[in-house]
Amino acid sequence: MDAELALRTCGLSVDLGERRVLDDVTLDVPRGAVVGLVGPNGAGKTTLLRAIVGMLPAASGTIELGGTASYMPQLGPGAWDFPLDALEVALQGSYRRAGWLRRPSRTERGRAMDALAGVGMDGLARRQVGELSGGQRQRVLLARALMQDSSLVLLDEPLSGADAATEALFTETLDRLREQGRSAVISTHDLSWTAERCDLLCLLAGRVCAFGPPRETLNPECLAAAYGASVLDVGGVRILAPEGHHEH
Amino acid sequence: MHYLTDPLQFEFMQRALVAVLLTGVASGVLGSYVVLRGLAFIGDALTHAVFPGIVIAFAAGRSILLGALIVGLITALGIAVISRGRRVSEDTAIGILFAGMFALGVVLVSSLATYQKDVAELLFGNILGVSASDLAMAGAATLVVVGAVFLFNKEFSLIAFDREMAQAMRYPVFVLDLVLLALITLAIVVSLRAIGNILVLAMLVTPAATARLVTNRLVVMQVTAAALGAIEGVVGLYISFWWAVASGGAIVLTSTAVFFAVFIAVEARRLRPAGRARPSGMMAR
Repeated sequence: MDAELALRTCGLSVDLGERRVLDDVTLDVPRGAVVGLVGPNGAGKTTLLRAIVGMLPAASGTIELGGTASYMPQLGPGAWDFPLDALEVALQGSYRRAGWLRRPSRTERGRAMDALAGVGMDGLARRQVGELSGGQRQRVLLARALMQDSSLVLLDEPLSGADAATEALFTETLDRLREQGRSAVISTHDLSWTAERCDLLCLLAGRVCAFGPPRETLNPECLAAAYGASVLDVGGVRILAPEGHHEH
Repeated sequence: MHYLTDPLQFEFMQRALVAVLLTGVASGVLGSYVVLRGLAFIGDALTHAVFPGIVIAFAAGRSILLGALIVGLITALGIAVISRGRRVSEDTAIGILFAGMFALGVVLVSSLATYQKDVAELLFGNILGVSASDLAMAGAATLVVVGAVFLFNKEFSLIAFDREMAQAMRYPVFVLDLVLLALITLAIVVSLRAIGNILVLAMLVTPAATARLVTNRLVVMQVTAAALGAIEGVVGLYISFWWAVASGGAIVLTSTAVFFAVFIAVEARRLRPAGRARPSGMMAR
């Protein structure tokens, strides 16, 4: 694979049970690029991220990584009752480095504190995660994903439940990743945010409807192909019809 | 003082004391995961599923703890394998196997009429029946349980908190789940003599649930649950000695009473007028 690429998927298809969820997905993600992954519910956004990180097998096609990938999943509300604090959750990102049978080192604890500081959560490091707000929880999960130290960061709807400050913080973090030559793929329902903040946009609806810079992909034809009738054109502003709930 | 020392003149009480201490520690440590992962139903299923193993081992004159352990492990594996597919949920797989295994035990018992009294003792526990070899096995099993939780705590806690992340980090989640079920089976087997098959579940759930009420830290919860399980076991044992009631029931009732006492104390504290400062965050939820 080209050394300039962080990720290449080629003709990737993924099945969940009998159903083909992703069909013939071909993407090249350059190093240092932030890719927005948008599409309607059930478009296969989460499935694509899971396949890239290796949780789901490819039915056909290939996935190549130019390094390692880390992942920030969506977390069900039940998980937050768990008796862990923000620092312990951030530390989970270092578990693979620590290896089996060993606890994370003092150095790793220091790095986890730094990661929390990077998302403005160092003051709440010892707070039980259930006592954090929605935006704060997303920041802790982001810190954990960054702790994995990978060249490609996959974020599954990190902006859901995020307040304005958290959203700004994600933008900052993405800028930092770019500077370090790391890449990110970030799934979201927020079209205007992706249009402003992402280098590339992937419109997904089971297959790739459009892939390229936002100005090329956010046109009526591509949007209609991905979203069907749920895109409304209101005086030149495209809005999405309200959606019931998030996919899982 | 003699209330505490008198019973210990009897050798069976000394053995019983060690047995309930082991039970309390093993169940308390693992109970934290049973409570946090919502595994109470699977725990219940495993306690019932070991029943045919007990009966077969009893009839064959082999170690009933070993019999229970083998059948428990097979059941745990069965639940994990059947619920892997999408058409049978884990709850359903548990329901099928647990009822099926217990029914097998019932059929086996009914064919061995003369042993029915002894088997009943296993269902409800008989503290007088703890033999030296039972203790040795319970001790070894407790060691394995505590050691495994100590060594794999970071993996178990990651899976319990965020299973998807554990998969994304390429942990063998399925295997680790099986290991956890096997450890729960071990804890059940440890408790079999002192508590009895039917009430074992309480030791896996109640002390850990009590510990969760007073701490927001996983390790503190595990240690507290183990300590509570051991203390409640000893208190229950003395109650059963002095009041001449069944040991398993006395121990479980003790831990139930402690749970409600702590629950009421925590709730009362929570509902207290906001004017009075609350000591630092321990109870906060």
